[in-house]
Amino acid sequence: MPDWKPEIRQRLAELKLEPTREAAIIEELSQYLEDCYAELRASGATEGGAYQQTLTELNGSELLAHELRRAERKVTHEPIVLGTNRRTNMIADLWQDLRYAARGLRKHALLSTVVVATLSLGIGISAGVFTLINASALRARIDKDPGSFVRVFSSYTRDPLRPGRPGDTTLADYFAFRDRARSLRELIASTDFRPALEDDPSETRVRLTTCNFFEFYQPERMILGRLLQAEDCSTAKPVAVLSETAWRNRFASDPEIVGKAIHFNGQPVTVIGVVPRYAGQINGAIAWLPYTLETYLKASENLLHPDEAAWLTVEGRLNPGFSRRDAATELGLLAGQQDRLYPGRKSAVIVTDGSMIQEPGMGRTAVWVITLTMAVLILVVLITCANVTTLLLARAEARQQEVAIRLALGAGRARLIRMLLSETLLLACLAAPISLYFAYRIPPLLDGWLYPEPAPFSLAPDWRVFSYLAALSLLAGLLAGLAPACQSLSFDLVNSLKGRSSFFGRRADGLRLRGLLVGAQVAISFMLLVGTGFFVRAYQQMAAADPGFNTRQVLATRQWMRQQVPPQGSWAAFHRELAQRLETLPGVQSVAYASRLPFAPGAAPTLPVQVSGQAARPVAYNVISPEFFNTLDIPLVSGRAFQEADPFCGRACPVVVSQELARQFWPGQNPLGQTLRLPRGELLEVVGVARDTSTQRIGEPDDPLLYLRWNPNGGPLAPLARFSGDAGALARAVMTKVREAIPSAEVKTETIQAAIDFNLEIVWKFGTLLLILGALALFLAAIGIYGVVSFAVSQRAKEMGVRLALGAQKRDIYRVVFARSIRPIAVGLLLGLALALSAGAALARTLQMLRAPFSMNAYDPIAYVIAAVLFSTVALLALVGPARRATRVDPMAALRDE
Amino acid sequence: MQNINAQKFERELKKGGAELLVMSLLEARQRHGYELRKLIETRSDGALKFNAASLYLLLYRLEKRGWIEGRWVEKAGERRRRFYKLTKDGKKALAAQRGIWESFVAAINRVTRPENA
Repeated sequence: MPDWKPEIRQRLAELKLEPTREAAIIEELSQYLEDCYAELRASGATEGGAYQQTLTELNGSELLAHELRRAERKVTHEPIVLGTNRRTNMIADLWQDLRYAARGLRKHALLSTVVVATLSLGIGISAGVFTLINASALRARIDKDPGSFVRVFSSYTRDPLRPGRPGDTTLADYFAFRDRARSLRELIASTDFRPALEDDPSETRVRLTTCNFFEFYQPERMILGRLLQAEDCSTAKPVAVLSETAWRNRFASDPEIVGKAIHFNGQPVTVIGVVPRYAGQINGAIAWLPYTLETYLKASENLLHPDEAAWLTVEGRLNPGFSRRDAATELGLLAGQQDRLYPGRKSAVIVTDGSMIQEPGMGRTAVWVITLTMAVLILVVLITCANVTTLLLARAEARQQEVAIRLALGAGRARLIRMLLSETLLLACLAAPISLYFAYRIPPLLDGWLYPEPAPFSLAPDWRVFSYLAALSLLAGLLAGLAPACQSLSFDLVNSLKGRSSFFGRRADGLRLRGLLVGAQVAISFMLLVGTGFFVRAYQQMAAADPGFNTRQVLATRQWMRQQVPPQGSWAAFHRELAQRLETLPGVQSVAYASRLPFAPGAAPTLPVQVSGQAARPVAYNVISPEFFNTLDIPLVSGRAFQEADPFCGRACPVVVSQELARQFWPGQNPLGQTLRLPRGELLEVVGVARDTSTQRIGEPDDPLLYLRWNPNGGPLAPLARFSGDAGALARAVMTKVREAIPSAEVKTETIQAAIDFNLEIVWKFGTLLLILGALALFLAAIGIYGVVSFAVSQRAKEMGVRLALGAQKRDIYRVVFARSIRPIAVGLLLGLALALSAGAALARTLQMLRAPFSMNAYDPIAYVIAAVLFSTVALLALVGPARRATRVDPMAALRDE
Repeated sequence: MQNINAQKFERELKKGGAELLVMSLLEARQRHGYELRKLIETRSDGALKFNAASLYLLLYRLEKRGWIEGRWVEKAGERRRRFYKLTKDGKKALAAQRGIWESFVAAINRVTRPENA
């Protein structure tokens, strides 16, 4: 029988049909010709005659070709060489892979949904938190064109050896920058100010600004009235723009407020407008007033004239064609010119993009905190990937036969990996938009939960978030897909083709890989749980801590003063008068002064002191008035407290020390009468020993502490008042009295307990956040363990069947399943322990760096034990289901399969 | 009828007729290409003949129009073959064409019948 296919193929060749279609047509026509030929031969024709006559059947095939050309789709032919990777037509291959992947996903809709949901959750939470970090720390807090935003930090010094700290700018320098800088435009200056509003003495935050402030920070609309205009800064008429919050809360949404006078620090100011929440609400400001009112409002201070006072935050925009570096150079030159006006002054200028991370003195800490937070979030993504990987591995196992056929037909391994990877990438691509939804929704939720007021600046994602999300999705897709893809490819080709993959003959690779993944999930989630444990324990310890003094019935007043000029002629008079005023308040029992309030932010100042015969060492100190111990209820264990009558310093200055200091400096000796030497030679003589307190970090005893007797004339100290009765009303009364005594001060009075509670709340919030992540991780890990063990059990059904047939009891089956599954879990727990120890140490270090008023014990055994017990319980629960299934295997059915 | 030359008339006639022939044969049951050719040849006593090229031209055209549908069928012990069957649309088209053909033939007959007063 002649082969007709070449004849037909030749006639169709130029049509360039799709290969499968061409093959079908050729097959059909050649069958026809075969029938024809066979019939001719049967009717007695010679071979040659039958061949010739059959060929006439193809006469007119040009018409057929013509018809087919119209009907069929053309494709470009390329040589297919078996067993090699084609490098041509990547796009077509990719498209083919994607279509194939999409079909596969539709076929396993449930698995795909679970995978997409898991990935979305992991990536989404991570992207959501990153969006918040990005909005608050990585970019300027401005809605419009953050790209050209600049913030100027000036530093001034008169000591050539000691550079100044970058911060605010003087008014004269601002004018110089504004008028002479060519690289910048729209320069504005503003400052925080905390006056009393109406008769409420508690601090209100307002912003004193230049009058172009609103051209820079444009609110979207006005609620009432108008914004500040240039003439508001030149006329003497005091005006203010109110925030919507203040208008609603303090003035009951008075529709007639525009034109009315309100009072800051008792001075009347006319309201000219009300604005909704906008980015200019810096530091929670509730009103904006011309900076020229500074003198008017503070009554006793005048920053507008002494040109050397640096009090303004300067912000602006880059002119097109200039970089921040150009601006810094130019402003540096201008500041140098300004320096000539103030002999001896030396200034420097830093220009940043206005983000928190670029802020001088803030950067290192911010980077550290952000890195730590992001590390936790990346861990969540990793758990998600591990989880998805275990889910997909089961499928990879199931499709080994398909892969084997492809390999046998000559598909390259790289090409196959690409095909398999495109599936997980497609899943990740599906998860990306859902994650993006999270990236929009999580920041406001988180922000509202962490802070009492919603952020005035935009929290919307930008290109950084989009890049982060894209990179994360890609990475997750690759990570989750690579192991299953490699798994599909690493097997015994011959057996897979035969469709036989018995448990006994299988290589253990897949199970080992799964064990590894489970171990990783266990490790990461265990670490997060321990982290939660740290916070919960810290909270417990803080809440139960005894600071060693009265925290609930003592009001501490913080006062900020820009200029250290005594209002009553001398600081001694100020202190005396203020104490008298406070003591007249009903409920106040005693009043004391201290240079450092308990749980004040920042590190306590230290003095280098020396005991004879020992090296000098720095010791924290507090300068106090004689009433201090009595007011705070700190008992003296021996000796006496300071007395008004004490000579300030005779042969030696009297000093009270803490028990801890006495223990460390004079172990086993009576500290009374002992002396300490200061670097300049002054002697301090111990007259009393006070009981140890905890005033630095809540729940932790203080380091050695030195109490120095105050010099009432030395400078302003913070007042403390012990009282009985209601704290709230009295705190307001105290603030009023302090403001009366020193009108220029910004004042905040609260009980010491309030400061503790504030910190407790922070710890609680962070603990809860970690708890949510930890619970999520635990849940994912449990699913992962369940999935892997179920799969292993189904793979070992035959083995279980054989065991049961040989007389194994249920107990034995449980033992087998548990014994084999517990290893990866135990290894994971050990790994998690190591991770938790190092992460705990990093966390403790961060808190120290941040000078947080609480500490964390990275070696708290209880946190570890609780996490381990919780984890083991959940893991065991996840094991019970599959193990029970293993005991129900029908031995006969299992054996029949083999 | 338009003024067309004889050759073109024959071609159109054959084309329309050929479609009608193939579809009529597929009306009862599905058949493969060679079977169709043999049936047409034997039933017309050799008057109507198709070669492979023209038969498949017709089949692919009808298939593209959605009137017939080809399907590979495997039977035990035989190689697979492509069988064609009439679709729903094809059945409608066949009924319409058959009606036109019958009235056409009747009209031709009436005109061309020899007059015998």
